[in-house]
Amino acid sequence: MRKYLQLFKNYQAESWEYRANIVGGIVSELIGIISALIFWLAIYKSNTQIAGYTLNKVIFYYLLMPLIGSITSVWISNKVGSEIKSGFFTNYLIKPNKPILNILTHTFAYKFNYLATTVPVYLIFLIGFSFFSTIRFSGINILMGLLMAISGFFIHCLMDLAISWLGFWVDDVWSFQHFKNFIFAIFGGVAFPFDFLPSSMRLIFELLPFKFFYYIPASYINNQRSFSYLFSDILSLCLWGTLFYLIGIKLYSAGIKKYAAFGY
Amino acid sequence: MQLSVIKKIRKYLRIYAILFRFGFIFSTTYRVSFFIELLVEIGYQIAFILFYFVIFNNIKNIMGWNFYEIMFLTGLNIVTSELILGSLYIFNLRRLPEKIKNGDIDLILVKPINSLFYLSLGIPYFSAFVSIIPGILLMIYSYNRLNLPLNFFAALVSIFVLINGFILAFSFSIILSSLSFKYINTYTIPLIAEKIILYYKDRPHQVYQGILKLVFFIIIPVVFVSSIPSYILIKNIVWNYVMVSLFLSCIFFFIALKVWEIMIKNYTSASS
Repeated sequence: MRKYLQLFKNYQAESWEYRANIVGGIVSELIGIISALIFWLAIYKSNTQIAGYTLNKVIFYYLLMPLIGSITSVWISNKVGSEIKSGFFTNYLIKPNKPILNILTHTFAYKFNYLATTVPVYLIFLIGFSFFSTIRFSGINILMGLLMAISGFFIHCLMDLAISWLGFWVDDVWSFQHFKNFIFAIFGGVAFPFDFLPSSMRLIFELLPFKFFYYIPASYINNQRSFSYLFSDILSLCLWGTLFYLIGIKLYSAGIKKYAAFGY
Repeated sequence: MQLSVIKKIRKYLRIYAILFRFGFIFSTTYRVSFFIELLVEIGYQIAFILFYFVIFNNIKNIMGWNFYEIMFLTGLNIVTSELILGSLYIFNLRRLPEKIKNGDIDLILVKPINSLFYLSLGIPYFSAFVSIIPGILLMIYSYNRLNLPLNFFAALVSIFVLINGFILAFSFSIILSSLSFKYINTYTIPLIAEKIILYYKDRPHQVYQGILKLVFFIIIPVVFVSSIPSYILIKNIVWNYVMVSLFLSCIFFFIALKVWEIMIKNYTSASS
């Protein structure tokens, strides 16, 4: 355990080297949010309510997206996929620790610093907005939303690990991030809340695991999802987590047998 | 004087045709990769179209644009996004900060070619050019569904504004990205320019009102890339917009050339 704690500290120190990228990431997010806000302000000029959402509620939903995304986002498949492709993955194999735990420690360390820098910025926006709007949220809603977001982060880790191991077979690892981007935009609820969907479509969206990365945490905080769904959401989280874990283990054990690195 | 300008333009068009052929060969060497690249582009396009499907499931129009008008705009947005990304960003401006950091610009500066041309347009991303096809098909389909008679004059004016829009997008990208010469190792500068163009050009221009109208018509004139050309073709010609697009594209292009000229002076080679 101690060696992973040390690794965590090392990775944390390493992640500060890229703080300029964090600032760039926040600016990029803000560009996206402002664009969405302008669009929705224009739409609500001729509509007072859409699918049960008032303008304030929609703005609050879109302001929540980067905050929840900063908790649930994971970039394992990007990094590990290219490390497998380049042969750098060997470095994990020769070290006296488990590769998967090493990768997860790296993820947690980076996440810790990322949250420390981004969350205050997003909170300022959210709190600022709540002062000027009629939106009120209770402590229990925030707590449930945060718990869902943290659980979403863990199953995203498991899913992304499973995707990473595809790097043993696929050369185009760069595409993983892009596939995730547009899948999350639609099936995760980044582009619009599920409440805007026709009921038949919504049924399909609700069956998929991507809802836990954005929509579910946001709708608990937004008081748009009743607590009666809590049990089925937790059950669904556990099932998806187990499934991704099992797929990841299978892919890793099959992939590592065919892994070959040259050079270094 | 005029003859030498025409000669220069012909020279660079010829060079671009050669670079484009290289881009094609480079992209299609690995066929699986090429198809994955296409799949990624089409995935984004589907997400974009689906977004408007869902929105129009709940409302009737967006600032006076009905569903098929928005689909036409979306088709043009797909075309312009792919062209901007494929010609300007993916292999060119996105890599500019890294090239500056590694001292890779030396090789380009010693070539008998304009550095701005080569560093901004030198390596086309061919897959993006192929990915404009779904956008064109969507435009044709939507235009048919709108039951509009084909107006050749409006089409010509629309293409004219579109070209001005491209010059504006190019110039804005260059002005912002050339800051990478001054602030070494800031990989996010070209990405921010790219995001501003892609995020703000895809809405009907009527959503920008008040102070935002000034911002997106004059300071960051992205409305001329997709929205106004679409509006001219499917609604009516607004001559004020046509003149403003011409005027701004000249001004912005001039500023971009000057900023590039000033910024590239900050470049110091890093090689041994």
